[in-house]
Amino acid sequence: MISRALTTVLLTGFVAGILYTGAQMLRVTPLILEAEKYEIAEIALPHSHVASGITHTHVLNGVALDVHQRVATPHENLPAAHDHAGVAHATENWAPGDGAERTFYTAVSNIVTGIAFSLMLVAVFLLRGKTVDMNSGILWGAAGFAVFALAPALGLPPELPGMTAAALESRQVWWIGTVIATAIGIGLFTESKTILAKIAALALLAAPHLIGAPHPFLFESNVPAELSAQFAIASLVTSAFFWFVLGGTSGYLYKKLVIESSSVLFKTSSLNPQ
Amino acid sequence: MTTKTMAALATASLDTSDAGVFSQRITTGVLMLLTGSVLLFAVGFAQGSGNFMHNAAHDSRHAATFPCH
Repeated sequence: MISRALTTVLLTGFVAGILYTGAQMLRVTPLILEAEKYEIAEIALPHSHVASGITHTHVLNGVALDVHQRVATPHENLPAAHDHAGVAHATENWAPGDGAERTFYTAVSNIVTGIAFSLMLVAVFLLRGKTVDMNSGILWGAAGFAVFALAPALGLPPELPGMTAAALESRQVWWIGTVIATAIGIGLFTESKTILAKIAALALLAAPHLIGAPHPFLFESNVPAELSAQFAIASLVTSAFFWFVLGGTSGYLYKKLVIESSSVLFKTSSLNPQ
Repeated sequence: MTTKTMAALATASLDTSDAGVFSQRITTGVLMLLTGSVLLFAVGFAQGSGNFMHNAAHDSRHAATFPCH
């Protein structure tokens, strides 16, 4: 059973990850690359106001900055050929080169993401012990989308490179808390019979948003608002596609590989060939 | 052996195998849930040495709405 469940997970992760990568290349990746032109401009040029004689302090999110930088206009410091490798990555660590190498690493991490989500979905299928097929799998995918994409995005909209945001750790903690609360909330709401449990479930669903996601004191971004808005919608729609593929494939393969081959596991399937 | 005891034995052994299968199903489910969480953390949150993990999974993280930078 374990090997069949793992086959389900690996196949699903591969299929969903590859299709997701293809879908991202339509809208999401071009927007990330476009935004990076503005992000790279942020490395910019240290400056002083000696010439003008004006003195002032720079404050970022409540923290006074000793060293501040003049933000260069896009492309000001870039060679014409859009080859910013030398500028952007000179002081950074390894990063995949633009083009095929970058797409390859994105595809690999998308497949790993698909496998991770599929592990969780199939785990829940196993723990519940009820039969699942492609259609109910798609519903499970919708639940996964709500838990892992929609609920966190309500507080922390999908970010483009270069957008201002609160400290990374605080956002990661809020993200994880929201995912856990939403998952338990949806599970409790759909599985429970009593009104009290359903009210508790709704409270859990609302709690992260009542607490509120961490945001910077000051929103300041070089990235045009139009790009950010397009990116928020494009990445959520692409995520929805990913989750529907993930749920449908998980459900289909789980039925074929796990349920139908081990009917003893699922009493319903041996009594009622469903 | 009476029919009754045979039936009882059969039920007992069925129960035992059901319990074994049940616990195997639950154990597998819990292990998969944990593995999935660890894997998700690696793809979505870990920075890795020299930001390796971050840079490799960069576009995935932005697309999947993980907090990235």
